[in-house]
Formats: sequence, C-alpha cells, structure tokens
Amino acid sequence: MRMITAIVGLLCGCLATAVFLLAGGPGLLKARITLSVNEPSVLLINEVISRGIAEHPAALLGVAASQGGGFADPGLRHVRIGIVRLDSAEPGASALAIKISAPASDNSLLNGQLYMHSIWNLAWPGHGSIFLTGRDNHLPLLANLSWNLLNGDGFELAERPHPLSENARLLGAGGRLLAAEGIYREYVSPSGTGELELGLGDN
Amino acid sequence: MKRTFVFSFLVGVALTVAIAALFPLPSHERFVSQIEVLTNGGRGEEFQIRWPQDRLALDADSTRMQMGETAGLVVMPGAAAGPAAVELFRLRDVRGNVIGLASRLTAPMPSRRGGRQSVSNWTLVIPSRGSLLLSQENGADMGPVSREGSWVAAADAPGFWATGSRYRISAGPAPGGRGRVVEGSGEFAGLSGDYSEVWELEELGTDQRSEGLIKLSTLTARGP
Repeated sequence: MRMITAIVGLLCGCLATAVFLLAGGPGLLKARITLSVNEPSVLLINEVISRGIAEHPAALLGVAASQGGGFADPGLRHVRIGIVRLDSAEPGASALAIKISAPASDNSLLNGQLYMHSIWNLAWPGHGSIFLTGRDNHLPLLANLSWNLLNGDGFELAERPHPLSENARLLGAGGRLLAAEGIYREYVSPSGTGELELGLGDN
Repeated sequence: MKRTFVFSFLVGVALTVAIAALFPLPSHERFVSQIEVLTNGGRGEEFQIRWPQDRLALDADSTRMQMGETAGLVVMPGAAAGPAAVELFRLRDVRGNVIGLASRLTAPMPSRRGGRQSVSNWTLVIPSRGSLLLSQENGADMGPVSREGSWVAAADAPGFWATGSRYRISAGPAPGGRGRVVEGSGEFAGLSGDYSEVWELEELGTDQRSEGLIKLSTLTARGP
C-alpha cells in the first residue's frame, strides 16, 4: 500500500510540475504581453517551401527530423528557412516572403521559455516591402501537443490556428512602405498553413 | 500514508525540475566575430558569400512559385510590375567560416524619382549572434532573368558581366549610394548605419555560369 501511495505521489508530483512548466513556469508570475491589432490586414500562408528544422515544438527540443535535407554546416544546424507566397484574405496582390527562424539561445524548459526568433521579409512587387521581427512562443504548442498525446490523439496539433508570435514588430524596408511601422501576429495551423495579421501604423 | 504521499510528490517535483533543467536543448555553434572598431566611432564588419557554392538549393515542387535554374532561386512571376525573387545563401565571415544564412529578396518598387527601381532586402541571420536587416536600391536591375523558359539569377544572365568584373550593386537610399541598415536583433540590436554590396567576378564560363564573391560591408553604430 505504501509503495502504491509513493508511486501515485511521484506521478502526481511529476505531472503537477510538468503542467506548471508547460503553462509558462516562473513566467506565469510575470505580466503577459498582449498585442493590440486594430483592423489588421490578414494574409493567408497557403504554400511554404522550407529547409532546415521543422516548425514544431519537437524541433526546439532537438528531437524532430529536419526538412529538405537540413543544413550540414555546424553554424546552421538548428536553422529553418521558409519561402512563402502570401495571398490577401480579401482581393489583393500576392506577396513573396521569406521567413528565417532559429531557436533562441536563452531557451530553458525550467523557466518555461521555448522560443524561436523569426525574421520575415515580405515584398509586394511594384508596391513596397517590409520586415517583421519577433519571437515565436512554442511552449503553448508543446502544452497543446502534450494534452493531445495524453488524450490519445497523438502528438498532433488540434485543428485550429494557434497564435505564435510575441514582441512582434513591423518595419518598413522599401518602396511605398519605406516608413511603415506596426505590429504583426502569426497564426499556425496543423497543416503547416496559417495566417499573418499585419497592423500598419504608418504607410 | 500521508507522509509517504507528500514525500514522493516532492520527489516527483524535484525529478521533473531536474529533467527540465538538464534537458539538452539545441545550441548554436559560434565563431569569433571579425569586427573592426573604427577610429571615428562605430564598427565595421564584412560578410561574404561565394557563389555558386554558397547558394542553398531547395528541393520542392511548387505550383504557385517557380524554382529557378540557378540553385536557391525562387521566383514569384505574374505581378504587373515584374517578378519578385528570393535567393538563399550561406553567410561567411572574412575568414571563410560559415556563420549564418543570408537571403536576398529582390523586386521592382516605386522609385523616389518616379517610375520603378529594382530594390533588394538582405536578411542576415547569424544564429549564435542575432540578425541584421538591410535594404537598398540597386544600381541595375538585379531581378531574375527568364532564359529559355526558366529563371536564372542576374549574375548568370547573358551580358551581365560585359562591362566589368567588379560591380557595386548598392545605389541608395543612404548617403554615398549605400544601403540602409534597417534593424538588428540580438548582438546587433540598437545598431543603425549603412552598408555596401559589391560583386566580384572570379570566373565566367562559356555557358554564362559565373563564380565570384559578394561582399556586404556594414558600418554601424549605436543609435541615439
């Protein structure tokens, strides 16, 4: 009886701590940053050509296979590139974009930090181009995947878009968007597609 | 019984914390930074790309973007203003170490003087250090060139090297015809400045395939 109690206690302790860490760990005690996007432009991520680590929490844990052959160079082993054609949710011109991501060097499971630094560069031919810089928080995705795994649904995301980006800034680069400033938010879906919400402050 | 449960619960907490603390998360390999401190303030750093060997090939079928004949070139045709193209490269320091990734996004944009102008944005990502975002107006059209039904990079286009073997590509918007450092992150956060992009041809084959060196020379200083 004592052995069973000890095992149950051990499992409860592991589970409670894992839930705490997956919910953000010590970061739970800090204020969350929230984005306020007023009437954002929505761009649909319909097609991605990628190479490098997968855009998946498992890749940040170092346990996911690379895509497109990955990179052999030691300095590039944990990097991901994605070339994307973005279509406007409403009738409008398409944009060509590249997204380069790399795991943050201060990631720590103990501190509830599982981030990927991401840089986007978007161009609308004949109009303008912008940069987006932010960090993608993969901890909620890992929590979601872990919950689905416990429910017997496998290590897969639920069928809904998940917000990804934090500290997400939009900067003008060229053309008519040279002086643009604003914020963005990226949503990722299980199929690898997703959405970008752009909130321009000055264009 | 209660004491056993509490004790084993705490052991479970300690075990999970230990696993979370010791789990080997991926880390980036770092090379010594090749930075030059300038006498009048700021710092200079040159990045290099050797083509064609630093071009990063992509293996994908795309229905809406076209893979170029030149490795690492992806083209989005169809826009009225002209095609937009992404080129991907390994990024090296002046010692030749591969330290990161570089992407060049080129598209026609409205010019400051009216009309259209070829504009390029460089994204330099050095995973162990941070990123630099660069933007420039090009001195010539650096967009992809259609050749016999496929796309090739400007450097491989017929006649591109007809007038010289060393071209400065940057033509503004910063003073002196230099490109603009838009933003930096990580170790480059808070830096502003300008840069120049220079292409040096080393060999030109009979089939117009070229070999050479791209030099991105940045001059940055801590912003106000």
